[in-house]
Amino acid sequence: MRIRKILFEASPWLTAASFFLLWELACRIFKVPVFVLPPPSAAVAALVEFWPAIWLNASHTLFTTLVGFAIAVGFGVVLGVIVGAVPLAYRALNPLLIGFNSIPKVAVVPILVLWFGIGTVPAVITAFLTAFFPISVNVATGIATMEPELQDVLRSLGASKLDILYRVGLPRSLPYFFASLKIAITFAFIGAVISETVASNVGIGYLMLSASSTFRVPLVFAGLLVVAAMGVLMYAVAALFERRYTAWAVRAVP
Amino acid sequence: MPGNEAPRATAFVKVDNASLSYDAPERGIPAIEGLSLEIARGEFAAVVGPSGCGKSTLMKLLSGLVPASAGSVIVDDQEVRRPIKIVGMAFQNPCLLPWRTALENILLPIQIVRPHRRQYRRDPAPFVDTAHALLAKVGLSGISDHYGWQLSGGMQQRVSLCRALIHDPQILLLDEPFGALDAFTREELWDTLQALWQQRRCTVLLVTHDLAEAVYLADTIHVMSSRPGRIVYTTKIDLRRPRVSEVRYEPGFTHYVHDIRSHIALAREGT
Repeated sequence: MRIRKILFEASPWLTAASFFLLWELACRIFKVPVFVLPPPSAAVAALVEFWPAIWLNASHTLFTTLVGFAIAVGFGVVLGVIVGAVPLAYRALNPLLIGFNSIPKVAVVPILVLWFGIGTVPAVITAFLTAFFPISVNVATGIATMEPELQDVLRSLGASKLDILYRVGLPRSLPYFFASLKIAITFAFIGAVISETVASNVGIGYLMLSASSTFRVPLVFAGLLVVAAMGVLMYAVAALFERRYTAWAVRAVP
Repeated sequence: MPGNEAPRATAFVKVDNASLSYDAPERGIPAIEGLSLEIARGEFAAVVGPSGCGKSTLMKLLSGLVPASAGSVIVDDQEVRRPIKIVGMAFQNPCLLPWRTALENILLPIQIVRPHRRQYRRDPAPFVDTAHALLAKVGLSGISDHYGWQLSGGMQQRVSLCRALIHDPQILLLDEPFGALDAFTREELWDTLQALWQQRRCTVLLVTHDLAEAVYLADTIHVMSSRPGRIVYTTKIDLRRPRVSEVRYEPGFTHYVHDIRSHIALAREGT
């Protein structure tokens, strides 16, 4: 029983470790050339060797992501509240928003470069554009799915639309909002890396692109490892916020 | 038709020939058509009828959530055109806010209704005391800090009743409040509701499809026809109060239930 519990607790680490172990073994057994698929050990070696450059570019990407994400949260919440609380806004804006969201953001980057030049600004904007949609959709859903009986109770007491929004709609949408943050932070990160890859001279995306153009494949994979690690880290932070601020929605019996 | 026994002077609730059809054409049949109904001040009235007959629509009409498209609805000598604020409502779904404790849920109407909301902001203590007293009256003292989802269905419904009563409404509108509860809990809550009503003497309109519940609790029962709804039969329930569970096995009680059932059967066939 105890062993099963330990196994359960350790399972995420075990799967990750086995994945890298399998990868390493496969590369060695089948003698895969390093410029096709380097083993994780080579990637880690490159990570150590190029650490200063990787750290510089990764921290820049982190900064870009967080700025874009912050703008996305602000804009996404406001848009979500409007769309969720005003049926007319929902009806009027919905097709436009869905259409906009369907555009692959990588296709927007060249336009942004045209407007703002190569560098940080297009990356921030791409991060923002990729991330705001899930936030808006979730906040709007949280507000719009309010129980009709509850609205009746409040309206029969003379509550204004704003009262209902403030007392019920907004608190109700909080768990949706925090759930969306986990998705949005990952999206913002993807957006930032894509934009850096296409058009930038700094950032982890740029680093990977320039490494691959010079066939330093282990460095590319080192970059990928960093990208994945940062993604997990940001997801974990968002999940922490979620648990902290909407414990009531988790409904664990104390 | 009501009126074989004239109610005191003027009725507290007076619906006269009211009709309501929602804008969306639901098979083109109005929800309510030519409905007339009177409830005296302090009376416990019940409305029963086949499902989908517009019982809930009647509640929306009385609370002013939707205006009648024809006829008149008068509550407390005022024509009802917008939400009247002197109502308390409870539904089959207790609708407690999951991020609020039982106590905070009960205080919700106080934070909405004027002038209570301003007084509450200045000094919440008296309202909190009232809420505690109400909780004690429904047999729930000690759970005020629990969240709704930590309570059983019956307890949630008791909290919902407290929320409906906290602002001292003059009329209590109950839409099948005990419909989702098991039989034992339901009967317990009948007695809780009866005790609350006898003490406060507010006017009550209970919408239900449980005939025994209606006969057990109400002074007057109105039977509604199927869509478009109107009142097709009204009867007084002349059983002594407080009613205790034994009364349900007396012949008089059974007679009332049979009488109402036969009228509902007629109503279901159409008017």
